[in-house]
Amino acid sequence: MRILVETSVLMGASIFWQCDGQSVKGFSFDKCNELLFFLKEHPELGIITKTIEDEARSVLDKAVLRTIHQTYFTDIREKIRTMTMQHVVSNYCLDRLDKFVEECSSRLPVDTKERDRIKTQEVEPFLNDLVMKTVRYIQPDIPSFIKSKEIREELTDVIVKSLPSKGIVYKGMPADRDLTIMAEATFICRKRKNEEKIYVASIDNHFIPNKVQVGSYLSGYKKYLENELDSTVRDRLAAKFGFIGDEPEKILEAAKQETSEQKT
Amino acid sequence: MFNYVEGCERIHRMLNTFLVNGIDENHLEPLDDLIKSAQIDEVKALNSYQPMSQQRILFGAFRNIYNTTEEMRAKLRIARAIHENPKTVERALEMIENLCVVAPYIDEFLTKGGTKESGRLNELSRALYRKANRLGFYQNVDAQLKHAQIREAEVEAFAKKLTENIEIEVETTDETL
Repeated sequence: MRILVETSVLMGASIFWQCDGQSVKGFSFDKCNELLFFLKEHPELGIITKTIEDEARSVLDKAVLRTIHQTYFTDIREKIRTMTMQHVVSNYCLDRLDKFVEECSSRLPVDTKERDRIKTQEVEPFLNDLVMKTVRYIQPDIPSFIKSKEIREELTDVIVKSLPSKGIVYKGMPADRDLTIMAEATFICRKRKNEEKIYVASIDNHFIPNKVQVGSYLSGYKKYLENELDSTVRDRLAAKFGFIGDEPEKILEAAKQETSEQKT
Repeated sequence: MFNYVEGCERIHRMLNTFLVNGIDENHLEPLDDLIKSAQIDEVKALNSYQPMSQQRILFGAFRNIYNTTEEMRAKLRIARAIHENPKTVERALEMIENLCVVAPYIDEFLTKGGTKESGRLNELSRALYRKANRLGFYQNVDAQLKHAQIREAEVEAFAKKLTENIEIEVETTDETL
């Protein structure tokens, strides 16, 4: 098996700050970091393409800029302090990212012309068709004259429970950068003639099974159904293009199992 | 207005002299001048009419120059005090080559009020940072924060906000929240 580390996982593990025993990290840090730590010991399994690396840097840049824009500067001194802070933090995160790229992966050659062809002529049209039949979340048809928030929420739950089929849950058409990564994963699968499984480790809902979410637009009610994942789109992508998208902890489990089997 | 290309050339000459005659603490003015100018120009970059993304790149470049040269000066003083063989000077010479590559872009900003190749400047500035770190010519994080009088709690708050924004950028936010 080979594991293509997607931008969200690379970023999830790179954004980390530790001082005085306290640490700041995102909700997905631990699972992403664990996978990359495993890949550090088995770099032959990891793949981080140039597109993913560049994308990760650009995401960090955008997020830092967004954070700066959210800060109000009372005077130039305050601005210097904030800019110094972002300089220190972003350098620290970029150092982590560089380390992951250097230590946790091998880089396979990607024919960019062929990748772009796969993206525009295969992946994009396939998903364009598919997302026409998907929903972002399940919203039962409740008459609008029922205004009470509580009743709408209760009705939503009851109707959802009784639905024979919930439809395909998927978070809409992926962004251009996700399509490029999917095309790269497809290219790698084809290059290796499907001899080994290619996993895409991601926490982006466009690559992995989606949590089933129900909601009522009028009351603003939203919740995830416990233990319910809709893997329809992921499975169709896997069947058509070969790559299997999943969360890092699940891929880690499979990778550990495979390496232990190989040892025995 | 300080000319960074010329400034780097002066440091280069100074280091070559040190390599032959040994380090002379009384002849560190080229470094002093560059450190002082980088500190002033940092503020200039933040006060300019450039978009925030450009300001950030320019500020980063000035900060990297400042941190590198400040640390270089400190290391040269230590090398002089312990009568070290020319290892530090040789490393400083290697380091200054990276500074020379960044300098023309900085001068372009100072003379024209902006730089067209900000992406390239960003790359070179990052390369400068990495090389300075590798050669031991970059202040550590604690020293940088202490020098800027930034408390750990402030950095923590910033990092927390950044984490949230990363989640927005990579579309991994919890939509039920």
